[in-house]
Amino acid sequence: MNAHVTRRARRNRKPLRAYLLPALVYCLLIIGVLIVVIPLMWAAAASFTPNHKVFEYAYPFSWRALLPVDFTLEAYENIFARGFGQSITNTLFLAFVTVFVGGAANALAGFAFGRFEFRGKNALFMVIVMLTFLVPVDLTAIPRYILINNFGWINTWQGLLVPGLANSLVIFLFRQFFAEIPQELIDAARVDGASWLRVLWSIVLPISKPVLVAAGLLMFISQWNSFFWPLLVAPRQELRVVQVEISLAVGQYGTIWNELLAGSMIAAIVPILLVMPFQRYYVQAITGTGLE
Amino acid sequence: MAVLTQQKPTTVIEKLSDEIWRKKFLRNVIIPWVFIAPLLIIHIFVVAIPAVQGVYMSMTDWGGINPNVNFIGLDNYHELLFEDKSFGKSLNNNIVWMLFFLTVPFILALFCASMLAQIKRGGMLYRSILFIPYVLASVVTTTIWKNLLNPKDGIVAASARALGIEGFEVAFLGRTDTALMSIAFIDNWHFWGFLMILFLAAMQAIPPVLYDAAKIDGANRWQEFRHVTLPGIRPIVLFMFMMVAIWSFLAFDYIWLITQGGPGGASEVIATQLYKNAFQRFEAGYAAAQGVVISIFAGFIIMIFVMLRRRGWDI
Repeated sequence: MNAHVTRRARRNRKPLRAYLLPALVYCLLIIGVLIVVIPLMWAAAASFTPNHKVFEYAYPFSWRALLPVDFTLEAYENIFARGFGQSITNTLFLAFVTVFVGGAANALAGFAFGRFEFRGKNALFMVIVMLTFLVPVDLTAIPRYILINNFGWINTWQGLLVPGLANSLVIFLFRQFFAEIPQELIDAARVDGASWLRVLWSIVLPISKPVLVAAGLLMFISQWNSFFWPLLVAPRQELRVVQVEISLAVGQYGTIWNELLAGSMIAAIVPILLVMPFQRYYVQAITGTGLE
Repeated sequence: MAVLTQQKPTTVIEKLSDEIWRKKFLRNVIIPWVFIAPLLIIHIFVVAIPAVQGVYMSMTDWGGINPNVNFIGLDNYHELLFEDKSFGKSLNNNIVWMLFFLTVPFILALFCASMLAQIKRGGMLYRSILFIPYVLASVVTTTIWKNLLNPKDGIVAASARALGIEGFEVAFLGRTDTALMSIAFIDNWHFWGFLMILFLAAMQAIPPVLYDAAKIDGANRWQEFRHVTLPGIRPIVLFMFMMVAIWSFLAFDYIWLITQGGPGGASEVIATQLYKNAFQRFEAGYAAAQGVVISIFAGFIIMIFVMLRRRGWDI
């Protein structure tokens, strides 16, 4: 009889386990997702709620805290009336210029490091990459601030822009990708008399979509999210970027939570919308560099 | 010299050799440097010169504004390492921070990535959602979490009470014993998804044949993870160990935005001290010395990894 029971148990166990394990996996994943999503949902809902009701459903907690039940655009209207739109335009402008100008500089350098042989190449590459990894931003921030000040670039676009142009991670990406392009492709163009710049532009770049997308995303998001340098170098109202605008609102209008969260939601939605569709490239690029 | 000998000029006529040499010079010297020049110029001004100046500043008593600068050798370092008690406390917090980030996010990320790797349906959706916090700016994340951790009517306290759990109506960010760990928790909320995505990508690059072989050998899930998955993702895990260790010494933005090192220095790290010395107390020389010390720590960590690699570790 014992043998009979165990046999039955064994026969039953398999399908049960086959369901149980995935169910457990999904449960744990859902908990993980909730930990990510609940704070964001609450913040989004609160940004659409009148300020005096922001905490109404949080205490005692109910699901209403996660949905904008008292829907209003008041917070958004207020921050835009106070000039939040200006900071969005500023940041978008900065981010796009960084992507194109910085992208060009980094791609050219990446091409040279990936395709050319020249004296001191590896040493130079190590110095450029290592310096940026090792040196804390704060250490260089003071002398850099002084340098920018000597140029008369405090409270100017140049002062905001230039430090974000060179990006070691992006050079790394380009170098890696360009080094793997087959030599025959490049030789063929060279035999036809194309200049190196022409080779880069019409042979290499068209087949480099993944790395271009990844590099563009990295630079765009890091500029969109940049905060301390703009705070330091361009405090003037007309040059404010999104993150600085939000952080200053904490001090000035500390209690107006719905406006603070409305600004945060706008600051959050841009990178989210950008990264979602292109996440694959982003990850590929970063794992690629990590494994080098 | 070696770099010039890519093509052998054996069959070349004497007359042409001059031109060929010129072309090679162009290809091997001029063009590479022309390509690198824009970046190099930016880099020199933005990183190299400031770094060198920073090291020099660390040996002066400069305040930051006044033109009065005296070279004082290693006095700042002496004060920092042997007299300044707050430095030891900050360093200690950096090390606590590092221990937290070398364990918690790694365990979470490994666990979650290995679960996601098994999932066939909706995996992409989970991935995307778990990755969201990583792309949010520190200003945004800290704004939201300061709110959630509000002891009176923040969601954390409120939902804990609703679930009947006590002990969450605490000003986590305002108490000396909880401040640092609470900030680490918030920073980790933002960071671990990134790690998870990296590990997941590495796991998916492991050839499925290896898993089939493990199954044929009768391996259970844990053995599979231990002997197939872990060795497969080892390079990226070790590389991230190094990066996280370095980042731990540079930790700044979350701490600054949430507590500015407070309360009472409970969450002070080297970088927040540096910022205060440089921009609030106007002791730029002393601040620079702290920056150099951070760089030395970071360099030390890289050295350890380079040495391990030389010893034959597959990093």
